[in-house]
Amino acid sequence: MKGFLYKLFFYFKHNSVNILRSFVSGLGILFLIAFFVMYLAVKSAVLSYISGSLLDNLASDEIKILPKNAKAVEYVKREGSPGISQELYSKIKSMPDFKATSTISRTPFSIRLKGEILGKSRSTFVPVCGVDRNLIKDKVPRWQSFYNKKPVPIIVPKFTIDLMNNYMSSMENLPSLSEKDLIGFPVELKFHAGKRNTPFYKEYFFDGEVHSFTDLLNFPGVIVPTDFLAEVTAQYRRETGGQAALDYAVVYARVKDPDKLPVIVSNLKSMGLKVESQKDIAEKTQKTMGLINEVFFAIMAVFLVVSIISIFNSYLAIVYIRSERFSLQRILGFPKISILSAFILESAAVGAVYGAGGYFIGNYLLSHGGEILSKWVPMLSAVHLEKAGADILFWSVLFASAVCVIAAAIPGIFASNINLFKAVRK
Amino acid sequence: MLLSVENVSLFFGKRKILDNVSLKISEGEIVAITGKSGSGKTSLLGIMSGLLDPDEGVVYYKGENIIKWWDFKKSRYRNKEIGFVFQFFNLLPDLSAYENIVYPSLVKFFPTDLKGEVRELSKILGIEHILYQKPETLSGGERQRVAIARAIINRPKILLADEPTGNLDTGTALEIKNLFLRLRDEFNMSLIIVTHDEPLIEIADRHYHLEDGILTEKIIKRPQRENKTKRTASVKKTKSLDKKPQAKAGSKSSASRKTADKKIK
Repeated sequence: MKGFLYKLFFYFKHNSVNILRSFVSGLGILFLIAFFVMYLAVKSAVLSYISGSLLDNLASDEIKILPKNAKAVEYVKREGSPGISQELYSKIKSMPDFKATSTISRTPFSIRLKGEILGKSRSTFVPVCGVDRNLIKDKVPRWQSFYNKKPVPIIVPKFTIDLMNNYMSSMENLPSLSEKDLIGFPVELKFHAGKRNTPFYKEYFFDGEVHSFTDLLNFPGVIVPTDFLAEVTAQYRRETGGQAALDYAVVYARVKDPDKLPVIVSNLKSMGLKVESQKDIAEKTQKTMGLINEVFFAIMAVFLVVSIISIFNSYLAIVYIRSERFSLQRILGFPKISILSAFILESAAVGAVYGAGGYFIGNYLLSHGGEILSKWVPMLSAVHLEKAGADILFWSVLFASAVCVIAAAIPGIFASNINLFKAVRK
Repeated sequence: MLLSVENVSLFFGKRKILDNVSLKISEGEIVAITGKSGSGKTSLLGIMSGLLDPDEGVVYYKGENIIKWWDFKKSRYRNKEIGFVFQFFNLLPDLSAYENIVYPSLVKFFPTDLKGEVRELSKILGIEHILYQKPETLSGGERQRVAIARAIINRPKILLADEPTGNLDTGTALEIKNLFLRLRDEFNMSLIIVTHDEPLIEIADRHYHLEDGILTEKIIKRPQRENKTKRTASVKKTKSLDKKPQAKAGSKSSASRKTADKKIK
C-alpha cells in the first residue's frame, strides 16, 4: 500500500504540468457539455410546450379551422383582422362530419379589468377572449367550473403573475403574491360597448374572480367563457339595437370518420377557411425542432471539433517533449499498455471533470438564464427550462471522457510505439 | 546458459546491420563488445534485451525464445532480468536521484516500498549523500552511479552497458570498472559491456569485436599476475560489505576465454 501511495504521489508530482495542460486544452469540452445540457432542456421544453399548448395539440381526429388569411391565431378583434363569423361557425357546426366543435371567440368590445389589493386599486384595458369549457377539459385545474356564472370565472396567463408582482413591488410597494394566493381574487370587468359619444355607446359592469392560471394560450390577456361573451353581446344588441357580433379566432372540430378528412378539409377550404390537421402541426413542430437541432448541433459540433483538435495537439506535444522519457520507460520495462493507459486514464479523468463541470454550468445557466429570460420576455415564461437530471450527469461524464480519450488515444499510441532504443541515444 | 543469441541478422532497409551473429552468455560472466560507430553494437544490445526483433535468428533467455514473447512479457523481462547503463546516463532530469533509482519499480501496479533497498544500494555505490539531488547538480561519475543503481534496483541477471565510461574521465571510469566487478561478484550478475575503454575490456571474460555486422572473438591482452590479484582483491572487499551469496563465476569465466580470434558464425 505504501508503495502504491508513493506511486500515486510520484505520478501527480511529475505529471501535474501535463494534467494542467490537458485541462487547458480540454476547456472546449466544458462548453460542449454545457450546451448539450441546455440543448436537452430546450428541446424538452419546446416539445412539452407544444404538446401542452391548447392551440398546437391536436388529436388524430381533430382539425383546427382558421379564417382564410390568418397567419396566426388573433385572439383580439381589431379592424381588418380576419375572423370566422357566427354564420360561418353555424354552418361548420351543422356539418354532419363533426361530432363536436369548440371555439376561441373574440368580443367586439374593449374591456377594462379592475382589481384592488390592500386598499389600492388599479384598472387597465386588457385583451379578452372566450373559450368553450370542453376546450380546456383536463388541461386547466377545476375546468368543470368554467362556465357563464356570477362572478365570472377568469383564466389568467401565468406570466401575468410576474408582471403583476413586479408592478406591485416597484410601484406600489406591496408584497409579492403567489398563484395560490391569487385564485379567487375578485376583479371587476367593465365593457365599453359601441362607439363613444353615440347613442350606441354603453358600459356594462360584471363581477369576476380569478379561476386559474395557465400557459395553454400564448395570449397576453385574460380568458372568459365564450357563452358569457355571447350573452353580453346579445344584451347589447337587445338594449341598443346596435350592430355587434361575436366572431371566432379559431374553431376546433372533431371528425366522426378520420378517413374522410381529405374531403372535409376540401369542403372547408371551399368555404374560404384555412384548415390544419395533426399532420400539419407535426410538420410545424418538426420544423421548429429541426431549427433548434441545427443551431445547437452546429454549436456543439464546433466545440467538439475544436476540443478534439486541441486535446490531440496538446497530447502530441507531450509525446514530442517527453519522447525520451517514453523511450526510457519502454527500456526500463514499462509495457506499451502501461504508457497508453496513462494517456487514457489521464484524459478520461480530465473529461470526467469537464463532463461534470459542463453539466453543472449548463444547469446553472438553465435556472438563472431561464429566470432572466422570463423577466425580459414574460411571454416566454410559458417555456419551462427544466434542469437536467442525474442520468444526464452520468451521460455527460461518460461522453466527455469518451471524447477526451478518443482525442488522446492516437498520441498515446504514438508514445507507446516510440522508437525504443534510438531516442535515448544522443 | 543464461542468454544465447543464435545466428542473428538484422537489416535496416537494405543495409545489413548484423550478419549471422551468435553469442552465449553464462551467469556471472563479463563480455566486452567493441566496434566502430555504426557497427551494430547497440542494435545487438537491443536484440538481446527484446527491444528489437532480428530479421533472422533467435535469442534464448534461460531456454525461452524471447522473440516469440508478447510485448508484456518482453517488458517484464527488461524490467526484472535486464538492467541498462548508457553512455549519457539517461537520467530523467526532473526526478531526484532517489526517484530515478526507484523509477523501474513503478512498473508494478502495487510497487513494493524500496526505501531500504535504495539505501543499501546507495551505500554500496557511494551515493547516499546525493539521493535527493537532481541529476543536473551531480558530476558525471555520480550520475553514472545513480544510473547503475537504477539498472540494478530490481536485481537483474544481466546488465547491458552501452559505453558506460565513454563520457567519464579516466579516474571515474576506473571507479565504474571496479563497480562492475563488484556487481558481478556480489550479485553474480552477467555484464555485457559495449566499450572502447581498455580497462573495461581487461576485466571481461571474453572480448568480441563487431565489424560490418560480423562478430569475432578476440584475445584479451592482460598481464597474468595483475589479472589474478585484481579478481581476488575485489572478492575480499565485497565480503566485508555484503553478506549475500558470493559469485561462482570466476572459474567459469577463465575457462571460457579463447586464445585466438575466432569468427562467430
